[in-house]
Amino acid sequence: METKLKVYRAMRDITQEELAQAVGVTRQTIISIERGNYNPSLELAFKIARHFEVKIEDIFIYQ
Amino acid sequence: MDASTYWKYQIIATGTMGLLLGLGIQQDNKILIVTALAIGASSVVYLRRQVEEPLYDERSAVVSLRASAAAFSAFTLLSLGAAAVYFYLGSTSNPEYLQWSYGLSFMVCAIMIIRLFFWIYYTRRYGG
Repeated sequence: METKLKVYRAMRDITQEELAQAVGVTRQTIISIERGNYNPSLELAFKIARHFEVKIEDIFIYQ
Repeated sequence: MDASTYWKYQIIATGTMGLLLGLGIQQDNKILIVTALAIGASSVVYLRRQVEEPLYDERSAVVSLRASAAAFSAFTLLSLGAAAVYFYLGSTSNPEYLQWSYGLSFMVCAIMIIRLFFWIYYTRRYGG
């Protein structure tokens, strides 16, 4: 699964740590999601999308 | 305190506790043993309260599950392999090795039966 998480983070000027704190996960999890090494759960994907005020499909692209 | 600092302090505290515990056991000093355990327990509680960010999340849960499953598979396979080797040695040279073989085999059977019970429990719990 592709992700545009890094792009949205850069657009809003948010660090990995700030995003991790906001959605309640570790910074390592955010790093793993951005690298494509880990696919978040539905709940976490919703939290991230809600944080950026976009749809899930805008950030996570299922191939 | 961030997570990486927490883990560094936790390693130091655990190492110190282990050292004191080892010294207490070696010198048969019960006060030292109790002190080491008290320091260990209180350091865990104190350090956890100082951390501002999450230490465990869904990814670490997945990692833990995968590691446990892999460890289980490796342990059962290695134990069965060792049991087979001990059985062969017990049959050909030293009969004492047969007891080791039986012990390992029964232990693997017991673990697999316990795993089966947990499998049934969690299958029912999650709507299977």
